[in-house]
Order: sequence, then structure tokens, then C-alpha cells
Amino acid sequence: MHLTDAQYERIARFLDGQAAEPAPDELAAAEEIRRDEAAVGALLAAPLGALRLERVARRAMLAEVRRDAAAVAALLDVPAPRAALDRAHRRVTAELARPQRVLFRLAGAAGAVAAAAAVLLAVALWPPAGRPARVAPRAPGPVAAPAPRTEAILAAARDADDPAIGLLAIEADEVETELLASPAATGMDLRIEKLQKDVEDLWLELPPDPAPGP
Amino acid sequence: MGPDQLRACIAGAQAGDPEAYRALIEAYGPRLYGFFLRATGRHHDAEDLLGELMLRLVAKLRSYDDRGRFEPWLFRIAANMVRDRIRRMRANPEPASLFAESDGGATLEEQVLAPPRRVEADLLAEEASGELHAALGKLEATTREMILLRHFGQMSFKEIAELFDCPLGTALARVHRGLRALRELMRRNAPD
Repeated sequence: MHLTDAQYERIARFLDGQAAEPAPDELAAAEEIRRDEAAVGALLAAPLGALRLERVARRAMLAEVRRDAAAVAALLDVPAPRAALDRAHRRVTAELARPQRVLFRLAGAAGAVAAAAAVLLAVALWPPAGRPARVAPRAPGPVAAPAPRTEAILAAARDADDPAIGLLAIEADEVETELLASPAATGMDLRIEKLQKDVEDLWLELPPDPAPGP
Repeated sequence: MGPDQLRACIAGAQAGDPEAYRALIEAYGPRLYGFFLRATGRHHDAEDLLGELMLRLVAKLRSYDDRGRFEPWLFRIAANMVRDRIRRMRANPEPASLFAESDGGATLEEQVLAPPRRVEADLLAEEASGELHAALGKLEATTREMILLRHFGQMSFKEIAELFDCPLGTALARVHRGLRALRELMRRNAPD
């Protein structure tokens, strides 16, 4: 179908509802146009899709957020007092130094206790040279007071001019006090007693000193 | 602080170098202080929280794996501390006292006893800040926190959504509504 411009103008006025008297072929063309428009219109009216709408809304929201945030930003900012920053740094410096101080203290205490315990054990187990140890076995029970010789040595140590020895003696006193006071004292005593018995048995198994030669 | 400088700073802090911590305090202290102040409303709490956070860093940095996300990690710690502090404040509300602070950091006692010679600009600034503080207080706690983290922590919406365990859209919507409400409140309180 080939229509002239004048015909198309008459069809358009007819479709717009204006008074027009289309010829039969113009009327047919008008009906065809109405049908095509109805078919395409349904496609044109398809929704953007929920996701796309959300994106559009979000973009608009972001723009508003940026604008509002810029307006509020200048009010939110507040200068931090120099003193607050310095105090925070001092707290951190103290915290960084703390583990080393604790470790040093622990090491020192452990060393002192170990040294004191070693002194006590040595004094209890090794009497003067030339004589085998003959310690009478004791019944299990609370830790007894130290032997007179040990006590003499500790007293001498306490009176010693050397501060290190004096300190060791004081530590030994403290360990002894703890041992006496603690419920585990019995266990320690048993261990010391066993050690003493082992030493005694050893002496008994050893051959006698060779007799002096002729 | 540039990325390389920050990386070196973190390595120094992990090695226990006090100067590295000093550099971190200088770089992030002001924003952290601002965040704490706007979140709690009190200078005393802001300073206390700043010190506490730096102490926590000493322990947490030892196991920190630097993947270029130091700031969000730092402000995540700050946000958790603020929540704990606010929870405690609600559980033990302090009665008003002479030692309660104004927004400028001066206690009521100091204000009463101070000579009445303050520059008008300071007063106006303090008034505006006080209005903002009141407006922030009217927001719902999570919304307020999100707005503050966006501003002071420079966190992305994605990071905020992860922190608050909510959808990205929810994070954006909350900030959007919160800022709008804030602007409206400020506009209503502004002098004519």
C-alpha cells in the first residue's frame, strides 16, 4: 500500500479523533496502525526490572548522602587535645615496658628461690668431708627444724658482710618458712628423706677404704 | 600517612617500638578522638577510650596481618569499644555533677568559677557543636554509629554492612535517613 502525504495527514487527524473522512484504503491503513500500536505498546510498557530500579534509587540516595555528609562533616570534626594524644602515648610506652619488667622480676625471684633451695639441699645432704653421711631415718611428718649445722651455716650467712650471701640466706629463710607453712611440706620432706637414704645405701655398698699399706 | 609509611609503622609497632605507636597516635588519634567524642558525648570518655584503644593495639597488633585494611580494622575495634562503653553507661548512669563536662570539655564547676570572658566565636562554635550533639543523640544508636564510622573511619558502605552484618542496601538506607534527619534537626534548631 502506498500512501501520499496528504493521505497520511487525513489518517493522522482521523486517529486523533478529529473530523476527517478517510477513504476506504485510508481507513484500512488507520486500522492497521491502531493494531500495530497496541502490539508494540505492551512491549514498551515492560518494567525496568526490580534490580535496575533499585540501582537507580540507590544512585539517587548516594548523591543525597554525599551532599548531606558534606554538610554535616564540618560540624562533626573536633580537634583532639594535645594532652589526650600525649597521655595515650605514655600509656602505650608504659605497657610496652611492662612485660620486660615482669619477666625480670619473675626471673630474679625464680633464681633466688632456686639458689636458696640448692643451698638448703646441699647443706642438708653433704656433711663435712671424710665422714659418710649417717642420717637417722625420720618418720614421715611435717618438716622438722633444720639440723643445728644447717642453722649455724644460715646464721653465719645472714651475718655475712657480702650482701649477695645475706640475700641468699634471707631467701632460704623465706623458702623454709613457706615449706613449713605449706601442706606440700610433707612431700618435700619425703623426697629429701629418700635422697638421704639413697646416699646412705650407696655408702653401705661401696667397698671400705683401702687399709693403709705397710 | 602513605601506605608504605603505614606498613613500616605497623611493623615497628609489632616490634614494640614506642615511636611507631607515637606515629600511629599522631596519624589516627585526632579522628579516633573525634569518633569517641561524638559517639559518647564526653571529652573524658573520648580521652579514656583513646588511651584504652592504644593499649589494646599493643596486644592486638602482635597477631595483626596487614593486608592494607588497617583503618577499617582500627575503627572496628573503636566501634566495639564504644558499644561496650555505652552499654555500661546505660547500666550505670551517672548523676549530674559539678564535674560533668560541657561540649567544650570544661566541667560545670570550671564554667561556674571561670571569669565570664569568652570570645563570641568560641561560644557560637560551642553552641553549634552542642546542637549537633543533641541531634546525634536523637538518632537511633546504630544509625548514629554508621554515620560516625563513615565520617571518621572513612569506611565504605560495604565495610559498614560487613561490620553490622546487614545488607549493603540497608547500610546505605540507614545512613541516608540518618543524615537527612540530622540535617533537618540542625535546620530546625538553627537561629533565624
